[in-house]
Amino acid sequence: MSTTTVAHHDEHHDHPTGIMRWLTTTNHKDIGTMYLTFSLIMFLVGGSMILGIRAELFKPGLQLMNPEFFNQLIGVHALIMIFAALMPAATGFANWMLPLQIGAPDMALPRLNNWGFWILPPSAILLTLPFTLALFGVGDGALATGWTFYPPLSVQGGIGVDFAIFAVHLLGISSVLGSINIIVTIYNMRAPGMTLMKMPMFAWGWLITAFLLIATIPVLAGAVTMLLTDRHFGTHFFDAAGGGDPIMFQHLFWFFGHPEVYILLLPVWGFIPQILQTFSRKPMYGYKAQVYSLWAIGALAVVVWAHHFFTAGMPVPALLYFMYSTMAISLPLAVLFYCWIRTMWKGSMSFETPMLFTVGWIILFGIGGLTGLVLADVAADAQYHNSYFVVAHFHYTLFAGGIMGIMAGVYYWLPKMTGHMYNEKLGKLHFWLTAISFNVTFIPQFFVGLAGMPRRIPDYALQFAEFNMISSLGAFALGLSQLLFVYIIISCVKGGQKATDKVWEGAQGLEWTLPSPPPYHSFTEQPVVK
Amino acid sequence: MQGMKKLGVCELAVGAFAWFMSLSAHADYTWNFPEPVTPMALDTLHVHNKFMIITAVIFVVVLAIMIYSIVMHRQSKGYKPVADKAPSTSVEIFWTLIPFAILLLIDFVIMGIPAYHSVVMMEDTRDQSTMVIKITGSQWRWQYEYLDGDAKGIKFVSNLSTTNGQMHNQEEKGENYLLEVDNPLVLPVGEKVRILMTSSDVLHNWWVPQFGSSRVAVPGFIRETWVQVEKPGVYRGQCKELCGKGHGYMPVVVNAISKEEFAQWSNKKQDEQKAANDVKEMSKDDLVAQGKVVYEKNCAVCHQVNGAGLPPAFPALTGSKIATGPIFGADGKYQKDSHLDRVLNGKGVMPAWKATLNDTEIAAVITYERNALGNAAAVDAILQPAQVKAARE
Amino acid sequence: MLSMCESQCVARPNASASNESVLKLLLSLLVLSGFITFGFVRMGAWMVLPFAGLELLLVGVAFVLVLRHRGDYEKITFSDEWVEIEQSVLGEVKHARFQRYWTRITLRETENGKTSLWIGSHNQEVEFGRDSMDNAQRAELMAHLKRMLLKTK
Repeated sequence: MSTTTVAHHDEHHDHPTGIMRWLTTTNHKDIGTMYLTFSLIMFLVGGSMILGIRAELFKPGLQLMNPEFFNQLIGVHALIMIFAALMPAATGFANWMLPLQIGAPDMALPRLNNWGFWILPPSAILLTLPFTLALFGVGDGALATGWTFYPPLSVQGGIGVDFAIFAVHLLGISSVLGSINIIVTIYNMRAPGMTLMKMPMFAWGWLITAFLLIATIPVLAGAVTMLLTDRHFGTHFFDAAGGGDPIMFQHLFWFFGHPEVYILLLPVWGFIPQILQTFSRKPMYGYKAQVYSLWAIGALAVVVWAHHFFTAGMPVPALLYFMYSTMAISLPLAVLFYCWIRTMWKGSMSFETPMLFTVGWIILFGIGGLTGLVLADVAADAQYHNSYFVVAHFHYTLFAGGIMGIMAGVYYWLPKMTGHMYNEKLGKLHFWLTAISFNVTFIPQFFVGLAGMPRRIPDYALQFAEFNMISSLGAFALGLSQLLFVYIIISCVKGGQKATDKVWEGAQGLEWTLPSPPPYHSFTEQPVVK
Repeated sequence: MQGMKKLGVCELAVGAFAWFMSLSAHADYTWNFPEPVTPMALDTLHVHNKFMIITAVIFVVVLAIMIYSIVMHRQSKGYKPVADKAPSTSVEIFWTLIPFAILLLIDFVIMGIPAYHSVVMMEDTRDQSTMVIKITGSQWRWQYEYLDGDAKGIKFVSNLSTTNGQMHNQEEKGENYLLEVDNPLVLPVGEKVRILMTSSDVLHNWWVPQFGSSRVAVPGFIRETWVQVEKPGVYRGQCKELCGKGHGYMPVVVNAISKEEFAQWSNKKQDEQKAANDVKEMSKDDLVAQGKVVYEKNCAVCHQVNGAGLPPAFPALTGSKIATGPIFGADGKYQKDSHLDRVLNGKGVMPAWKATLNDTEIAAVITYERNALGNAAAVDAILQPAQVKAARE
Repeated sequence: MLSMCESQCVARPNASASNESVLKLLLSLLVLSGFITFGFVRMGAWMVLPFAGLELLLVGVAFVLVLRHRGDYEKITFSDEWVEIEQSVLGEVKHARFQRYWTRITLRETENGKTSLWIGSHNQEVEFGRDSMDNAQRAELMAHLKRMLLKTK
């Protein structure tokens, strides 16, 4: 008898409970849950910051805060919403659903997955800590440059900038770890028979997202590191007096920043068709066309960055190139919209909450896309740029296109994840409150922007007063409506009507073949995709 | 932070009511760009209107198709889904190329061609331009300098003139709240003015909505744009690149007048400037009085009206070592890190003022800071314009 | 992946990536990142380089870590008298043999909520299916093995 791995096993280990379970877990569902919970919490934190802003902007004059604090709130709001609310939500869904959808027992690198998540909370703390420190007289508060860190303002800024730089580094590491894990999982863990072109659309959306992250995060990391050395170690990357160029930072930042928009949206474009086919009871239209469109958008995403700073001045050929390439993004996007609507067409539609959010998402994201098309025009952009028109535009893409998409996903998969149905009536109420108050908030911002109100100002001229007041009222309604969202989720986790395995009558895909909620470890028998 | 007032329900209701009332009061409610007064702004408005109509048509058509589908093809009406087999590749390519082609046409022909001409027009700053001015953004004011013609050499700083009381709701807000300055930029109507833009500290962006041009002011670089105002009037705009705490408080005001009036104005301004540049001995009281005006316009944003500052970023002047210590060394030259050095050359967040303020203004503001704001400097209490002039050399 | 038949069970880790596809992926990432980094380094932003390099290295390492276990397998074979276990990790094959009559199987819970399956007799044990199976598969295999062992008794 030749044995090599021989051991005596007498001790009995308990299943870890409480905080230790969550700190050490390598289970994709646990980690997915943590990502989603973190995202929800940070969504509320970032949201309350902006409600402070909207309260200040409710009427002309300074009522609640001084301009420095105002500037801190806007920048940290954006960083939190982008890096700590939207991205973790998409990663949370990837952790939960990708293994289920491609028939894998877990993610390919479970321990890496755990580290990827646990980097997030410290970086969120780093971002917001300067607010607290300022209360104790240390430093002068958080990052006050807007989320874009433009030097020389950021070189001039206080310790808030340093904290934000470190936070962005950590968030970047977390995103890269998550991306690597997702790429490896999608490549190596698919069920037998599932070729790339048979993958669920969500996996495609995430694969391209992960590609974009890997391509662009080093650029962001490099940019903020150079900012740090400019601030403290006497380098002159962005200082004209030392031979540098402040505009180079904008190239670096937006080389990351523009793909970032698609990084936030591609996962949503992945699962939206899946929701549409479920509630239209009809397979999604144009799978191949959609996959190619996603790739086209991913490719265009990295070559259009300079349209974020047309007014910073560049040669005419560069202006024309960035204008036309930006307009070209609308081509694959038009194909996507066509496929989404064609999936609904002549289906047998029913309008449960996920479908309501999806239909609302298509309409509102459409507004965001169309206004984006107009923004590509260099000459008109001189007017739109940094006005409230842009603010309204990117909230149509990132709140409607991002967060409302995520909400559709939450309602769609919540019964699968918890094993309970959520309260359908409240869900629908949440949709209508969100959709209406969102528009009340942001439609006035289009007009106030056209009329000439710049963004990021703590106080404004009297002619903008009415629109701002409507916008603030809308924002408060929008904020309050999200408390209903939290209530619906909590009560769904706690209990409710049992969900069936399939949950939705028209559901298609491997995740719906598992029990609701799925067992701690997913597939007993490897499913085979024909 | 200023007093945390609570926005009560009552106040919200009052606010909503006030809004409804003001709807009727504001007849000139704007839903689009303000009236264009330059060729660029007119072009922008046309382009904008055209694009908005195109996108609105796309939106309405697509929405109508969706709504039709939502109304007709629903389960509750018993609509059965068509047995939609996955379409063959060629059918799929055909159908998906239709939206692709439509957008191709819109992007690169209907929108693309006029957009091309607009870009070329916007970037052509030199052709037929008859005047050059230089605009320098600094935290948080604009400096204007006329570089050629009758007005050559005219140079002044344009500061926000809205009072603190209005901002903090202690006074009634004026009609042009936050959009008013002490010295507006004066431009002749009908001339194509080439604008050279730069900055002395961080990025700024000079923007007048009715002009349709905006350009970032980058420190250490010159950027260009142009305006050709075609209608006399006063035009207002703002900085639109986040530039720190005073970002909301650096408006642009342009006074467009006829060429004749402009010639008169520039003569008058030239004389004034000559007079101001004459260095003459001044009494302490005169210096303090003028210094108070300069201080409140330029320094009080950071160091506060009472000199208390906003530590740690903006130190207090009251009791400050720099503001009470000696200025001149034994050799008669001003010392490094002295009061005069700091004002002239700046340090860190403190801007250098030597290009912005003239000798008299610097002498006045330093004398004011050393004798008011709770300070009474024992040495070098009074600084004369001549001393500043000497220090510059 | 777990395949079971009457007298032999084989467990293999999930592996859908071919060498070629992974190579293509890594190459395309290298070209993409390289191109971007080269552009920015030329602009003077050389600090992008170390981050891009580190990151690509990390992607490579991740694939190597996962893929080198592709050939791993674990096999249990029942003969009339013996239970033979063959475990191949990174090409190194280990054998263990227990008398069928005396073989005991235990399923234990570990700290992180995973189960571990142990096969052995006479105070000697071998862990089976630590990385290639999940809890449910281990439970299933356990049931199967118990059934097989009962047949002898």
